[in-house]
Amino acid sequence: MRNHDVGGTEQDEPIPREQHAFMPWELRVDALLWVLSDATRPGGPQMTVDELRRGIEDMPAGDYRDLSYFSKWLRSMIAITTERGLISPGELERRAAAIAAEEAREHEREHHPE
Amino acid sequence: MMPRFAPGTHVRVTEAEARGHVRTPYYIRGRHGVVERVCGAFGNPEELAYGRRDGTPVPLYRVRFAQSDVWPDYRGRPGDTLDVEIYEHWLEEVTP
Repeated sequence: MRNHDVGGTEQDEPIPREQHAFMPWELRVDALLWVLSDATRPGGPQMTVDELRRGIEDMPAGDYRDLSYFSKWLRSMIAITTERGLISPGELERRAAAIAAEEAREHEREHHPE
Repeated sequence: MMPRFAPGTHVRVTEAEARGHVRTPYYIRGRHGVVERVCGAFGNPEELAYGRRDGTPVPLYRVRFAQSDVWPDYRGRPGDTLDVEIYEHWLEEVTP
């Protein structure tokens, strides 16, 4: 029995059944998976939905329990694309840090114009 | 691959303790059901999940189970059923 084998097990809390609006980043994650799993791409898709599921199921139990649906997708997509060599370990962090630095500079320019 | 089981065949789901990615739900393992239809043949998710895309397609079946067989404390109507789609290598034929 693995972390995701929850069908039929007793849960501490009731399952929330109401639908919610998607955040913009969630729609982006969905779109990115469509691009990565495009079967019409010459040479085949960059990843498959089966790999996505494997990446989600391999998460530590706490992450599987606590992360949101699309957070799990994103975490798995990072793991699979890193494994395939599409991105390198640390590349994502460096890019995120560069974007954060750029945003900080913009903020500085807006609030402290010369 | 030609499908081994025709609709109406009584089957049992293998009770394997899988290590990697499988599509057979944990709760249905070891249960007995009846083949409702052959869905076709599809790439094996257990290979696709690890990047192996050149495998032979595996027949997939829609198998019908009695809810009362799946959940010992089932409180719904007696005739309620549950359909699960299961790949051929997870099924073995049993005598009804």
